[in-house]
Amino acid sequence: MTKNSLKNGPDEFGYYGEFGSRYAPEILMPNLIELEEAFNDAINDKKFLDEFNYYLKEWIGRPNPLYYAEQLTKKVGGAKIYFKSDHLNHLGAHKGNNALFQILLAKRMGKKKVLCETGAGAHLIATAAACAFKDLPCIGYMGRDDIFLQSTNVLKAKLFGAKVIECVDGTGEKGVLKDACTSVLKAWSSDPDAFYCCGSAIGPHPFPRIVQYAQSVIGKEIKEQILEKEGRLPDAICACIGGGSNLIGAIHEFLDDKEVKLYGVEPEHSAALTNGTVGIMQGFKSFMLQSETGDSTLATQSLASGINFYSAGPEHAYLKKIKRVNYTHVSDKEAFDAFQLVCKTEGILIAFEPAFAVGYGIKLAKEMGKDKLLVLNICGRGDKDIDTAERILGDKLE
Amino acid sequence: MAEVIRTLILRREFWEINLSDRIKKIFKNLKEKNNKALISFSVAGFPDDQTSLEICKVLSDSGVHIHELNMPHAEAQADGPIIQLANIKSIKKGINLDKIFMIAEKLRLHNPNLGICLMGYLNNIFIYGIEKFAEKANKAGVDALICVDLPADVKEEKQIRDALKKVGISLIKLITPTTNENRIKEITMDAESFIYSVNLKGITGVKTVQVNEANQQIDRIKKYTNLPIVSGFGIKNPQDAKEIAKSNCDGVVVGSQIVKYIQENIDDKNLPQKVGSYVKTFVEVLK
Ligand SMILES: Cc1ncc(COP(=O)(O)O)c(C=O)c1O
Repeated sequence: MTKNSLKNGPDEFGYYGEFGSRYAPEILMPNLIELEEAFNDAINDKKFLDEFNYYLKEWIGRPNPLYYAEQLTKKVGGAKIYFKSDHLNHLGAHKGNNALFQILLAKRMGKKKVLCETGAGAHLIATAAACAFKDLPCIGYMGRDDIFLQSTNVLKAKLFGAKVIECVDGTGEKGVLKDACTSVLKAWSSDPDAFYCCGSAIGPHPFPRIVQYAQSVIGKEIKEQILEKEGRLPDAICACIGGGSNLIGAIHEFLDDKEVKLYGVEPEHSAALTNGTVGIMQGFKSFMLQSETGDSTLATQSLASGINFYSAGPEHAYLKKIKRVNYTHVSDKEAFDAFQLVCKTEGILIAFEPAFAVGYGIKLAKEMGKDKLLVLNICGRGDKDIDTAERILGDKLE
Repeated sequence: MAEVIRTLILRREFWEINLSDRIKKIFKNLKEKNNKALISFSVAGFPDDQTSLEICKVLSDSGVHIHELNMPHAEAQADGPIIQLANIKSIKKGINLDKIFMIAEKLRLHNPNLGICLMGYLNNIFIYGIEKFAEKANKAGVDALICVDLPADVKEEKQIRDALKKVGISLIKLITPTTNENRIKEITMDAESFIYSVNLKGITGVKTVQVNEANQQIDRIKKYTNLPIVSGFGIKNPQDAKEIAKSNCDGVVVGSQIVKYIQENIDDKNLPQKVGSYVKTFVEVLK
């Protein structure tokens, strides 16, 4: 551990500055402490890490390319754009890195059942798949609206043997990622012997730390690959942010490299880090889109289910506060235009989530100048989104 | 002797004599008569502000000893669908802490002897301001606070405890079936007024209490504290309450069942009176 490094993780109570910690009911506290101890033990066990790295390579298919998006670069006419290609992972998104890590940990802890929440379903299929090959039963909690929007992911998860439970808010009117998060915490309270595999850098300590640890493979690869290709660090890295796992994974390795500018892009109508206030819900303290009295979240909306979230992980709240990362947002339309542009220029069907990173990245690249290097984190592929794309484009697809 | 004083100081009972005298008196009187406390629960602002106040008043007239007034939160982590729905309906009608303090204050005027305990989640208090919360709660005649997501690990626990201590309000601690001996020891050291023993692994209003397990847990806690212990979660009818009351506990909490009864009779013109008669069936079995 280097003194004053931003890479040291939270303090012993799970705080990143004033954010994070574990604001959990007593029923979950012993579980969270057990998990923290098991995590610290595992990451000091060479055999365990070898196993994780083995499956990252052989099962997920890492390292994936740092791809020079030449056509997009030409079209935009600014900085040289690289894509970090987590869309090429087995299971189609970055979520597999974390699910793999946590399921190996669950197995090491001797757990017999796994619970998870999901937004777009990417974390659900990743967890379901990891549970399938590690022979653990998996129960996924998913908002009703997301089940409708992401039906292919639901089907995949079921093929992997997972059980999917539909979640709604208290009134039964809506069901999105936030409702899945509340539901899975309740389910875990009712079944504390189960392992809860948290899908993003949110929730009570130690989840933000575990997820950051598992996802940091993305940034480590970026660093190695860009040094090999360009002989220097990038000038900027940009990723989308819902809970914040793909972003923290892409940037963690660079937090102490002050010359590398870092960007997190939220959807316009769930931009917690731009428009939120400090609050405490679902076990952690962070910026939140919440009512004036703090008794509820505000309704959020996004083209991309996976980043349609009222808050963001506590490490991001801290990185915002100390101004290490620039958090910003783009509209659904900008993201959808970027999604189409990447299809047409690069022949790559990206997911709606990273389309937000590309949407902002295009503007950024133009400002940056041609001698600069910009890495965009393409955290998922878009197969899951084609039905929605069709609904939006309708006749224009002809 | 020095050892005795040391343990007393450790248990804080020694220097917290003033904390919520009212609740102390309640348990002392009951103990003398060999009776157990009935602790009722309702959601502030549900079905509306006025009716929720009337319900509280009628409950206190029906022989309830302590009332838990819930401060609604939409993502209530420890609550099942019954309380969550009531919470959200109340939030939609515009409940807030100032209104809740008004309800508490009127309830206090109505009944000077009832133990009044606010219950809820940290964010409402955090956003309102911890010092201001303590002050207003004191003015409203509140005796205690139960905060579900406030373990000793988080910074606000000490802030809230200190702010409440200044005004003589107790912070109530919860112990659950997953809490191991070490944690029980630590939690009871910090505890004030009474301990809330959560009977089951789960959320409110879903599972039914297993009397044996609940009672074993009470004995586990008794090893570490002389504070009264109340037993809550999963008590669905007077029979459950009666069975639980046979244990070493000092009181029994009825929560979701009351809220469910309110939901089922929501259109009744005499709703508060009906709730009162319903809760009397619990009071009777504890006598
Ligand atoms: C493809 C994809 N990208 C991004 C996310 C957002 O999550 P995070 O902010 O944790 O990276 C999701 C979540 O489901 C996703 O499916």
